[in-house]
Amino acid sequence: MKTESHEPQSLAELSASVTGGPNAWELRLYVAGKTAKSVAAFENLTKICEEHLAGKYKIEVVDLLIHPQLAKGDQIVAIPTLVRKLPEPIRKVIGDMSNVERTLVGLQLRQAKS
Amino acid sequence: MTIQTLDQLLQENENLRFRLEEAEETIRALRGGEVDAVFVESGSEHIYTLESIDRPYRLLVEQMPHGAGTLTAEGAIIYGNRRFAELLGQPLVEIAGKPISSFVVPDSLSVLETLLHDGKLAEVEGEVTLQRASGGTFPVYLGVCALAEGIRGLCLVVTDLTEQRSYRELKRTQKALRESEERLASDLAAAQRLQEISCRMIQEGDVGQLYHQILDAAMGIMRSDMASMQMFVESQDALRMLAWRGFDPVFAQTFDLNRPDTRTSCSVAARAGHRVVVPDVETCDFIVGTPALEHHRESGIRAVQSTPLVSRGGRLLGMISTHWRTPHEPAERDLRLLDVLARQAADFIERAQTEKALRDADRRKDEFLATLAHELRNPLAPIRNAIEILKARSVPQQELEWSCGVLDRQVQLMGRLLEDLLDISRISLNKLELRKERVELATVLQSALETSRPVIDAHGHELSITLPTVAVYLDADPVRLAQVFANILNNAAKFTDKGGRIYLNAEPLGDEVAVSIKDNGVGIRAEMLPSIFEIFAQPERSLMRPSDGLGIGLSLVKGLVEKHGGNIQAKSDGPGEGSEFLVRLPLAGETPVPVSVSPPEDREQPALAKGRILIVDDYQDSADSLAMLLRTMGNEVETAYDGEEAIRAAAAFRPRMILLDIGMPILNGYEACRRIREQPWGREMFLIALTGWGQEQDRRRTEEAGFDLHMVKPVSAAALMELLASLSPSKPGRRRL
Repeated sequence: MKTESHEPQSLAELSASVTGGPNAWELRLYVAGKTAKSVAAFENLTKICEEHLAGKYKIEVVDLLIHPQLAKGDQIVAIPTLVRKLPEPIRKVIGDMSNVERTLVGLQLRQAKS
Repeated sequence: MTIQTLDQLLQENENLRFRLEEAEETIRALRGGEVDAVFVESGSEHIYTLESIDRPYRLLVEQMPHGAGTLTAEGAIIYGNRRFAELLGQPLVEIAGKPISSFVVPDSLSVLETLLHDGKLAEVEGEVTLQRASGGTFPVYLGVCALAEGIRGLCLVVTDLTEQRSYRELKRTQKALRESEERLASDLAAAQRLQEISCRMIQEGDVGQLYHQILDAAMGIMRSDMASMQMFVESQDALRMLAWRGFDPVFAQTFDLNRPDTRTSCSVAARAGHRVVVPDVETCDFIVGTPALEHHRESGIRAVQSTPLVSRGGRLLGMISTHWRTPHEPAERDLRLLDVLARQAADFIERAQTEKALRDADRRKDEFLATLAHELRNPLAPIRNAIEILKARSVPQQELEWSCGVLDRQVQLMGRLLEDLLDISRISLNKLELRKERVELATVLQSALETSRPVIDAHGHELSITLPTVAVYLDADPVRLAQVFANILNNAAKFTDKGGRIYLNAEPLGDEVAVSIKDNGVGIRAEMLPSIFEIFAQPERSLMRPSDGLGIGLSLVKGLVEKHGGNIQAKSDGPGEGSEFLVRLPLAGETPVPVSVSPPEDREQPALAKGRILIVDDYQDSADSLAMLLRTMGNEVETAYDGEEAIRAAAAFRPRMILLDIGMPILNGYEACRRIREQPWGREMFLIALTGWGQEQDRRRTEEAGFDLHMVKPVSAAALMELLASLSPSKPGRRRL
């Protein structure tokens, strides 16, 4: 995990630091506490967003260990899972997003190579 | 089917496709290990995280400070922990699948290959240098072993050595610092020792002790096994051992005297005028192949350095050497410290030499003054006695003549003494004028012999003379030159026991003539030789000292010889070995004529009478005149001229009173007194010590020896008569005048 001067208590707190702008992408990341993949997913996601969506995205982190009932809404099965709420249509990327290429395709930020 | 129905079907189909994709994506993520928790809904919502069982292992692997990873059998990276990725400088996703060899500098490749190969069979480890993508390189320690189960591959543990290197570096720095501190402490100790020594040099009276301290300091500074200090003896052109440390006494014998041609570092250093370092005598060009090598071996010297001790004026004073039992090249810093010590030692030696010279000169002056007073007072006693006789009415003709003889002789003696003193001061002030003329050496020597013959004969010496067969001419002052040889001959006679032999030899050598006067007398101690011609120099005050002589004779001789353009040299093999004085004078050049010298006639010594007072004095005039005076006053008087004779005379004559001189040959006054007191007949006698020395310690010594009275010359006959009258016939009391 990245070392920072202030160790955040939860990923939900982290999300507060990431603000959206006009025409914002609204992303929701479902995590399960601070499991390795959950943490990796958040790190990878913010990296990708900073690179491709700088200034126009907002990440909402939903910790299912705290709020398990929220899993139903987006029909979450495996965790971590990213849901693109906006722009429409809803897209899901499942996993820790360590494969940047696949993640970009999943978020439709890039065309899948044929 | 309605259109709406068709749209609904299409919509449903799209939903299904979307959900299928999602399901496939989920399966793919599960298979790829990208998820670690699942949501399960069975009555109530529940999250199952997949990490709970192996969490401790995962934490351990992820958080350990070493890099850990797995490789395929071919060396491609399968997985690495966080530290592994950090060490390689790239995220794990970037390095996965890449060959480990692409992260290693070319130089380390062969090591890596060996490690990977051997690691399949056993646990191996080794050091390689990693190359980061950023270009930086750093050393790591690689532990490699085969994966025990599952996929065939290798397990890798990577330890960053940079920090360990820094630690080692730190350790090294600390060690160097500590060494430097120790060095500083030892420097400080050396400086303190030097300081201490310089303090001691100011205070210390015990020179030998100080030499040893200097050597100890030298050994401390140079970390040597042995050390020695030598003094340069100019007259011998050699270095003489002063003190040594760490050697057997044999060493001092072997290396006692180092002449300039001796094969030693100190001699070479003395000749060169600077320090000589021999790191190994076995390879030293001036030692190997000479007997000196064996001498060094015997003394255990393998390496040596010699540093000259030089006065501030650049004069060689001595040498300080340090020696090692093993080959040794002294450090520059040590040598610099030694130089400081050498400077101090040189200053000390120079000052000690100057002080000694001053002390000696001062002592000689004191002795000279004491001797002068003594010598000038001696003739006064006989003169006074002779005058007393002359004053008496109706003096018989014989005694009148005798008195005149005493006066004549003593006045002449005093005149000679004063003349000598004046000559010395004339020479030292360069005011002495020579009346030079063409003169034959034989004539001069004959004249000298006429003067010295009585002294030589009085001592019963045999004189052998060898002269050149041809006449030798000099341009010289015949009177002064005769004075020179007479003085040397007198000296030889005085400093040779009765019945000795004296040789006078003269022979021309080139444009010089060498006159040697040699005796088989008491000789001269080696340490006296260099200063024997100095004014005031005389063998230390001694009871056996002959009765005349100021000790300026040789100084006068040297002055006169040099005035004649010649030189004089004294030689002696030591006490009891006789002496030789060699005078060289420039020849006038010309007309050789054969000559011969006949020794002058012998002369008779006077003899004297008897009485009830015994007078003992080797200064015969003094004894005789006093005896005569006392006889004219109605006493029976006998005389004796040395201690032994005194005892015999006392035993036979049984006097009431004995006047005993202290400084006498054969047996001195103290001893004579003691022996007389030992006799039954001697206990009641009234013994008076008669001496020219009137100091308190002289009086104490006479009292200890058993004298009743201590009188300082010259003695008044009237006082003696009063004393005699006051003596009760029975037991005499001890009194003093």
